[in-house]
Amino acid sequence: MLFNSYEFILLFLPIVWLLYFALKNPRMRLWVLASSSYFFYGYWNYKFIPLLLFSTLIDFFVGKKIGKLADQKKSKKWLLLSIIVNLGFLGFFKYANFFAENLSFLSGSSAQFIPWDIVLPVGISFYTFQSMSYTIDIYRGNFKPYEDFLAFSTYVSFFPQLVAGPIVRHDELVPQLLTPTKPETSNIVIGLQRFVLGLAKKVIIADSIGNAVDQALIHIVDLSSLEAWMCALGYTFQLYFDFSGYSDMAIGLGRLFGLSFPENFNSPYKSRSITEFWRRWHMTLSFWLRDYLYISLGGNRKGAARTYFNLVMTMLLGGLWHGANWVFVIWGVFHGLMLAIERLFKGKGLVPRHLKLPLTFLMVVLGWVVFRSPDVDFAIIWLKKLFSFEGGLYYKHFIARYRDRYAAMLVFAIYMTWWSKNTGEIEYRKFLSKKYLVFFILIFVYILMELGEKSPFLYFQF
Amino acid sequence: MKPQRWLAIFLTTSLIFLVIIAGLNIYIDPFKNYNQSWRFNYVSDRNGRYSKLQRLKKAKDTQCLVLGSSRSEFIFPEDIEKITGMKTFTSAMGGAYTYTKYAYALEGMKHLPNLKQIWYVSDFFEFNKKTIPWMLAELDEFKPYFMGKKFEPVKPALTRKIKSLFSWELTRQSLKTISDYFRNKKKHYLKDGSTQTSITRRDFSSLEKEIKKVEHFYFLDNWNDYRKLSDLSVEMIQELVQKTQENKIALKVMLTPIHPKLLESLREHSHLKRLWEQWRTFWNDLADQGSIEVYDFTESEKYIGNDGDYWHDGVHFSRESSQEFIFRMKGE
Repeated sequence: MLFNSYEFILLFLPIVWLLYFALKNPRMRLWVLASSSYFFYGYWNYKFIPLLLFSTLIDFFVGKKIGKLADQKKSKKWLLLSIIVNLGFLGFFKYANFFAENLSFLSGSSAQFIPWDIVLPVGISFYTFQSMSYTIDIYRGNFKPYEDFLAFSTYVSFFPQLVAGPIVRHDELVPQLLTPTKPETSNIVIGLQRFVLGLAKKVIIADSIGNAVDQALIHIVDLSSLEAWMCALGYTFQLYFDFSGYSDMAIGLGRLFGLSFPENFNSPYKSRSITEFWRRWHMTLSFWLRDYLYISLGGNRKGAARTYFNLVMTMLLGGLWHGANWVFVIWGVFHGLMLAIERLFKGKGLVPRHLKLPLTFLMVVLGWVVFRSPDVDFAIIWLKKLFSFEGGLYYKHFIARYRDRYAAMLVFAIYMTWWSKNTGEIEYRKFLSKKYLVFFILIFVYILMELGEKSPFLYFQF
Repeated sequence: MKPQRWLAIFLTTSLIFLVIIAGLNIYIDPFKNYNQSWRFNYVSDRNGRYSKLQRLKKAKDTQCLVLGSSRSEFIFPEDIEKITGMKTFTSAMGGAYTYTKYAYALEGMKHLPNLKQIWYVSDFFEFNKKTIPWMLAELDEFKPYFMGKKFEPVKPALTRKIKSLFSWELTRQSLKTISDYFRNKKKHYLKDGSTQTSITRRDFSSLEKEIKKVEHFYFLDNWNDYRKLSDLSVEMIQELVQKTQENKIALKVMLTPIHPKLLESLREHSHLKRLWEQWRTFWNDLADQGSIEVYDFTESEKYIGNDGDYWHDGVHFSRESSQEFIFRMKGE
């Protein structure tokens, strides 16, 4: 079930929300959230419900076991069990074909390789990370294990953040779930406003830009240089508005149930360095990678050379987390190298201050070109097109019916990105005026009418 | 404003809007999604396919049946009759792909006892459809013809009904229907299947500009994922050839031109250029086998001009052009 679908907005959400508030018993409320979350997940493919449940059970019991053990060695074995199970599922569903294909290529038998028919369970990359971080935290002695399985399983499966984040830490959500309270009306209104704004970012901006870009990219070989840049820019904004829109909706949904989620974006394209970019883009993933991967690899505690290696390795794995494709590996290494280079030349003033933002943005855009490409060959063609400067002002591959909307939305997206407050900074209280009420009603009804041609969120595929 | 009041007004007003939109779409029901009787029997939507079929069944004296898309709406039955002497019915209609023509051809062979010739007006883009939309198959008469063919995935009826309830597409069509009603712009098919009274020639001073406008749509939307002549279209054509031979009906195929400016753009796309040639070769090969007669008007400059006299707009040729084509098909 997609957030931008009729069944979610008009049926699932109102029913779950009304049921949640009709019940006075906090325990029953938790049951409502847990069961509705499993229904939400099963609506996509009920066959994967046992997988989600099994992953949750393993981490809950491993967490309890580690919590009881004083012996570090024995604890480590239990931690390994949790990591092997979680990464094992992730590896099988997400990377089995990728590794098998590359192995057969190396052994010279790639012509005979027939990919296995494996369906990727939606959200597996997100919920395994959430669940796994819990056992790591218990192992590190940062937290005590939870006694309440219902609260823990609700945390792992909670529908607003289940399939595409934000990657919420257990200590951010489980304590809130253990004492579910009825939110104030003002909180509900803010949640609703944030949900509608997220929906608008997705349906009005991201989809409008994305449609034009997708159509144009089909003709990558015939594109002019200008068009290749328009596609690169378009995808840059499409991805931001799509994913940040999803995060806004998730945060808004959380507020509707009186729960607070961490912010996932903070105007990333305003960054003046790649380091800053990763503090603003998909923040919950970058902080997760920092805390559970970069620090585990030694962070910056083992000398300069090892620090650079750790940065590149963390970003490589972060890239691979997005999918089993060489383009994600290249994209990850590219960002890792940029981080390492920035660290190497930190404080040496190599880049003039006013050039920092455009240069960072340019690097990010080039990274997205690789990220969006279906394979490496495609990425090479696209990158060559960008710098071939051929074809003049050729504007043919943007379909007429998308073109004007694309141009309008791109201008709007640029304005929203650099000259407007982001949805996490807005003062929602000002939206309580009549003027904004009319705006929200119109925009909400308009979006509902647009949902007939809904498209899935980009981050669902990861 | 207090949050409680804001929330109440937001939810109530949004709900009222949605109920009004849903009510309008159910009442007008332009695509017959909600089993409402067709109150507004216009040519512009799916109802047109139904009403044309009823016309076809009644045109018992038809000797020549024209099959085609909106591009062949300018081939008028009365012109064919004047030039060839054959009583003609046209099943041409907007958005007709191979499967639509195929279904009307079979209905024609079934209901028209005097049928001698079928003029199949083939468009390049009709070969890009890989599946049959469920909507067309919902015409009861057509269902048997599509058994065993590839269909668009059919969404569950209830989901489809709910999803289209508030959609822009449906609402736009509902509003257009009402607007047409009040402006009395009803377009009904005449006895010969044409819509002569409603089609008026437009004076074209800037045809090239118009072509520029439409070419984006045609090349990149309509033909965007067109990579090979679809198996479905090829299969249906082959069946049609066989059935016309069995019924001793001559099948004459007319390959329609597109405006030279549009053709020039088409040839800039390597794969479309290749498909264009494949499309022509496919028909010419069938003609070589002696199964059909093919009249290739794709190199339009040989037969007609490029200006407003010969082109209704950037995509559709005019009545003047079609008269030229009819003369040539008669052998003059």
